[in-house]
Amino acid sequence: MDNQIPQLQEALVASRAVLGTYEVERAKMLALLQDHLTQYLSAIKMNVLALETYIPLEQNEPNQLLGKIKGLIDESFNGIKRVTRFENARTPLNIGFYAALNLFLRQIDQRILKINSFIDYPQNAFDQYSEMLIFRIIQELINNAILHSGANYLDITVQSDKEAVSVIVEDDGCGFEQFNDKTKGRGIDIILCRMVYLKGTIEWSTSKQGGTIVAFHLPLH
Amino acid sequence: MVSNRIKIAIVDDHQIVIDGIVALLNGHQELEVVAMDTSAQNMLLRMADLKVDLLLTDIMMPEMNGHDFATAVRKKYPETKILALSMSGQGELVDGMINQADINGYVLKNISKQELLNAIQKIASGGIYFSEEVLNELAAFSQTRKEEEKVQLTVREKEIIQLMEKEYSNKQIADELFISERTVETHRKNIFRKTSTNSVLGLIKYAYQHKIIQGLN
Repeated sequence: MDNQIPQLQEALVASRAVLGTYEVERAKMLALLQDHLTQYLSAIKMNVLALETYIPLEQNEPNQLLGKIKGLIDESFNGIKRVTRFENARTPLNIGFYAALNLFLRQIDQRILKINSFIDYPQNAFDQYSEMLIFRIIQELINNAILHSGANYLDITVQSDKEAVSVIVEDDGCGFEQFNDKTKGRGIDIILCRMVYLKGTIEWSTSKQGGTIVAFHLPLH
Repeated sequence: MVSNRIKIAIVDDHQIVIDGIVALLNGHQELEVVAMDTSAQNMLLRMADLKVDLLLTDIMMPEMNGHDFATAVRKKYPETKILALSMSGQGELVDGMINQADINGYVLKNISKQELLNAIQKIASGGIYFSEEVLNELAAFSQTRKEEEKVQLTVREKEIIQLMEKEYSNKQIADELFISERTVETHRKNIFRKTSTNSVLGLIKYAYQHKIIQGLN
């Protein structure tokens, strides 16, 4: 047993290194999409719009082609926007769990998903990599509620006591079973992997009226 | 002879975007691009020698962000109108630009040519211009800020209150709802917090008062 302890510690250090690298790569991808690719797209669109003025109105074919190009640029632009909408460079790694979660919740349009939240999280309850994982789990659950379950209302609670941090996310959408049938594997596998790292437990259930309730508990020691 | 053309300065950390805007405005005799820069700090200095009517500026810039830049321009060159041109129309960002930096307009970079020309004309003549998407984001942000704190019990919490009223233990509630006792305990804490009660009796009273539990006829 004693021989296993250094090995476990090594595995933990390795896992954290992987997590750190993953987050750095994610931030790079985000920067590439938001700060670089979209700038190119808007520059392309502006040039196409400038080109339009040189094509006489009566030339149908070139004008139709330009119209298609403009449509494709807008579609690409909106696609990137959809993917990166709730992504933010400010994460628990640089501003802490409480601030990052609050910021994320504030960014969500209340007309799309009305959110009621309560966050009782003691500072530094977990190391920053674990906090990052908890944040990503919550982010995934809320993204699922917005994108796939058709929910209008979501309630999120983060509660802590001496033993554990407990999180409950409940929405009024189509329910976990229906959601799961339609969208197998949508982020759930990743959530389960993160839960293994955090040594926590997670459960999904559905209320009588159909919404999804996800509860997870993370031991503090 | 004094020119009536609108003198425009453009700041964006991406030269390709500046070139795009210039190409877009090219051929419009009423507009004159008098300065372009990829650095906000440089532009702040250069503007001292130029009489800029309208500044077109990006928001997300590495060395000096659009918010700080617009605030500095407003202070140093109060006559210059500011139109923010950004990839992001996030409510919080726009709100800061309007309330702190006092800008005159905000549009997104995927704007159409006609809308950009309209925005420039309108702002140069003393008006304001915010594109529809930006206004939508701003409205959503204001709504979030105004959101009142009120008790909102979820469906599951109401289910648990109903079982608590039947004197079910945590274990019985957990079995009934196929969840763990730990989850029931977390729900109970939430329910007590939300209803500002601290005993089952007080909670049941609250539930009857608020028609969460219906009394027998």
